[in-house]
Amino acid sequence: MIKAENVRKVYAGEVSFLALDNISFEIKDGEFVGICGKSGCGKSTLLNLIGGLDGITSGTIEVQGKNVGTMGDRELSDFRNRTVSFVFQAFYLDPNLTVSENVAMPLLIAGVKKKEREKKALALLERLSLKDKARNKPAKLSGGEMQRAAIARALITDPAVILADEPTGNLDVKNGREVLRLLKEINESGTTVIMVSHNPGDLENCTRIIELSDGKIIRDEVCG
Amino acid sequence: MRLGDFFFLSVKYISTHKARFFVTLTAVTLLFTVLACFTCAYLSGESTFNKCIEEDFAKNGLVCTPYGLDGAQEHGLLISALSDAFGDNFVIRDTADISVTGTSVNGMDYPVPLFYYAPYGDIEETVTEGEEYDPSATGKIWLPRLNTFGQYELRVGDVLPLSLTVSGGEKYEISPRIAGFHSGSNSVFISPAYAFAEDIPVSIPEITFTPRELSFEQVGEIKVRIENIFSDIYGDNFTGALFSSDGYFEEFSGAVKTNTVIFAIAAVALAAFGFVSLANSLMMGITENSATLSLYKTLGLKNSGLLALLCFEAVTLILLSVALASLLAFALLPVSAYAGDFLWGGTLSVFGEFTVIAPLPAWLPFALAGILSVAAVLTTMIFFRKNGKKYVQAGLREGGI
Repeated sequence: MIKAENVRKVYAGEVSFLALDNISFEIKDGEFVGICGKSGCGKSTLLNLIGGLDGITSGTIEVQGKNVGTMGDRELSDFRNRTVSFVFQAFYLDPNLTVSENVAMPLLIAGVKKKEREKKALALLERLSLKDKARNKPAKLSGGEMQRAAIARALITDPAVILADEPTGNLDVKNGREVLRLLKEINESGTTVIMVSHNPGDLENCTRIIELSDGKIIRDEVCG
Repeated sequence: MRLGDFFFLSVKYISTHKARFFVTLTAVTLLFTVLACFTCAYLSGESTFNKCIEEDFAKNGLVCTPYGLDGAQEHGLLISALSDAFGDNFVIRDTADISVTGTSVNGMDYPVPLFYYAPYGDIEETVTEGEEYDPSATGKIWLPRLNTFGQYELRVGDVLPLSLTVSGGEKYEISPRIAGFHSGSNSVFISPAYAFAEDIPVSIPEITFTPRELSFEQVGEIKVRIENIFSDIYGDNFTGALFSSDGYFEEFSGAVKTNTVIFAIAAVALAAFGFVSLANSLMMGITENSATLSLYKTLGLKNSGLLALLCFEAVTLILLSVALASLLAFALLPVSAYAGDFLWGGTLSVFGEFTVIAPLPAWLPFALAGILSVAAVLTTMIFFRKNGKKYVQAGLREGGI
């Protein structure tokens, strides 16, 4: 379960910017939550706070019973490695690694043996129809293939939560639909998925939609 | 993370900015090479000096030195040099019964003969027995004062044509080689072995040495000649020379000091350039590769892991540049014999009132490289601790998060 209470995020600077303004919500295990809103409303900030990539100004966020804001670097790193996984709009694959090495990277960081992580990476790539691209560098993949590889990387540690930030943003309609189908499939296998998108059409598969505006929740509804 | 995987990831991290890595490597390597060559040049003086001793001993059973034995004893330098050449237990035999190493050397079975001829009398003057020595007892030959030779350029090993008149008026022409010079008194040493080898019935002290057929190029005063000798032995920019507050060598001290200062400035400047170059490259690495670093972070790599990647790059740069610089420095050495001294170079110290301008030890460039490495790593760590979060966050934005 993910529980956010009175979360505020202020970006300090010459002119400070209030990105999230006292928002609270709970997300149960297995939900597929879509976060939407206009550009700059705080969607990605919320995702980063849940994933421990950025610090909270005030309030608390608990993921699987652990307060993300009070974790030290070691605990936070383990949290990012095992509990949550990210899928980014720009795929964010390491161009110097092969596809299978990219997919296996979280396991490499976790200290899993090479054979074991290769086996798991190949199995995932097969599941996502990318096995024949395993030895290729990301530059040789299409946009859709790159995003599928990024999803495979997100799945390799069997995380409880997948945080997807505009996962279809750089894809054409066909590949976008394929990625959404994959995320739905992953959610149906029990993984909580939180997806940020500015495109209402992407949120059709979501079981719940949270809409933000100027850092506040203006809609939180269960779908279907 | 497993160690092998860490190396794998580190190499991959470096490959994300390999062009800059190789530019930095080249720059730092060149700096270290210059530094190493400086040190090599600095050490070559002592190296040559030892080589001279070894070669002379091997050829003639004779040790020649630009210093007189008394001077050597007084200065301690010769002892150090001989000790380097022959080990700590060598014995020097000197007819003046000078104990060089603390061991009385007369009558030893396996001496290293070293002959010292003090100036005495004038050219063509019959040498008479000196007051200080008993030549018949010691076998010492008194060589006349050779100031006249000061008009000529003489070098160790040159043949010195002399006429030797012994008691009874018999005259012999001999051609001993110059074994050395006494820098303080401007006199020449020859080995009596050359005289004795010709079976000349020398009856000391009734002998007379007369110069003959002098054909050396006239170069000036003897003082100049001695400078030349030093220059021949130590090279034009010799160091490791002695100088004293009241001795002849004082005239060299300015040049020696200047060299030392130049060396020190150059070494510090090169080290500083190396450090700046390296630290700058590493910091640029953090800023330029913030996207890569933030990717690793999102995937669960700890801050210490990120820092280890940066340190790995720093240490790799240092080790590679030192190794390449060593190879280059060796390749640039004109005489391979210097390589030993380059690696293990001696360190002379202070002897009595004479100060030896110590050739800087050969490990200096490596020590500097080590210090540089630690400094660069520390700087990177401080920089990362202070600014790492900012750049990783920037990397997240760059990565489209």
